[in-house]
Amino acid sequence: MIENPPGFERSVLRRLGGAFNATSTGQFLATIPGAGKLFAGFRGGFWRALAKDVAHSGPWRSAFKHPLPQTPKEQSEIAITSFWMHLHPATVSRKSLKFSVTYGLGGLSAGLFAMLLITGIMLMFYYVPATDHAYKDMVDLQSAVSLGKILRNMHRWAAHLMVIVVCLHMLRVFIQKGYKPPRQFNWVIGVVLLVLTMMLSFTGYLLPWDQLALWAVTVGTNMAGAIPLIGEKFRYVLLGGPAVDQATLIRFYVLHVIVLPVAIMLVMVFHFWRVRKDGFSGGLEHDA
Amino acid sequence: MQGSELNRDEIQSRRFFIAGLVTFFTSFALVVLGALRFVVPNVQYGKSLRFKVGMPSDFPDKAATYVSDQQIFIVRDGNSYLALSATCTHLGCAVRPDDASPGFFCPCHGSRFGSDGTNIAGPAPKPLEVYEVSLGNGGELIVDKRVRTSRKDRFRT
Repeated sequence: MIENPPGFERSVLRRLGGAFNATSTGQFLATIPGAGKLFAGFRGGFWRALAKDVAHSGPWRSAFKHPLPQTPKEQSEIAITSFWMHLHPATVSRKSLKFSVTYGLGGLSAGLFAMLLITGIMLMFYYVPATDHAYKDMVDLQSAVSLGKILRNMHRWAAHLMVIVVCLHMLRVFIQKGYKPPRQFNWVIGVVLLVLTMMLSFTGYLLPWDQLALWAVTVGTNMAGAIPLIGEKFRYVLLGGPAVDQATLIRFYVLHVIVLPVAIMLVMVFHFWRVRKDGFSGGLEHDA
Repeated sequence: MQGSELNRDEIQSRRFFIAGLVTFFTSFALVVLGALRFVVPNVQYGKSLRFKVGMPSDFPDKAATYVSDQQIFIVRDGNSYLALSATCTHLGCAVRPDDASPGFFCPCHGSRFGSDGTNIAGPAPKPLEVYEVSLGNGGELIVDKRVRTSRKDRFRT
């Protein structure tokens, strides 16, 4: 038998807030004609009893090991033990919170990436990476799929924006000397992220399989072919053959939807972790 | 027999441990490098590089005719025939007949070529490739993309 920690009851009820409050639910139902009669049997203690049952269940209690923190000490304890809380730093200097320190560019890049991930997965429900399908699927997405047009354009514009925002983020770090010790390694990781962003951008560019895509990738891979010694071989492997064709489409697709996103997510996590470990750059002069 | 076996101290030594690590990671790296061979395709399915393009008389005189499924131009001048690659020598886009002059124009970066494929303007560093032309048994023109020839060495019927 597990004992509730002190303050447990109070914390659970505060977390639940008014969501399961019987009175307010009843008032809400009264505004819908007929609903009052329908839910008459549930009125009164039903929701409150259900909330209490849920709050006392093992799975629910396992998710909230601690009561709501009342003191700074309790707060910092939770910041160490809780996964969600540990994502946020225990302390932040006031100066590094100023908007003009970061312009939110790193967060914007990450946000755009999240948006690209979600819209990209949704596009995958309709897009088939075959030379006789790809262009038609893209056109269908634009015209025949519910929300398809906004979905594809969100993906497209977010992709363009991400390249711009990532470059601005780099510029901002450069201008503010954020690359200097102790943050020099995070600059290197950032460069890796920039390259991965460009590669995602380039591989995604082929997927609509229109004339622009075809010739842009022909030009791009021919540039890769200009690398001394290994260039021609490298180009052949990139294309999966002598010219842009089905083999190229599936290669770029696999890179675009699995290989590069997984790679960039791993490096991103490392990038964020280093931001925390190296300290926020805005607070450098004032922290010491 | 006794001497060839490792004793307990040797197995637990730092040197043995490092040698093991090096062996493991070297073999692992070699296997990974070998596995990279997977991404290089071995077979390419496609059209034959030596193909018929039609009877010599099918091609209009003093003009470049595009053979779209092979991405080449047949340039006829009287009884001489030239098989020109339509691939721009700059970055590989497909050139098209120039509106302004008798030659070719690349829409990607604006390279221009003369009617014999000579690069005359834009970033293209080389003339268009010239492929060997010959006559088949039925009297039709045969182009062989595997054999590159000079534009001076034109095929004449």
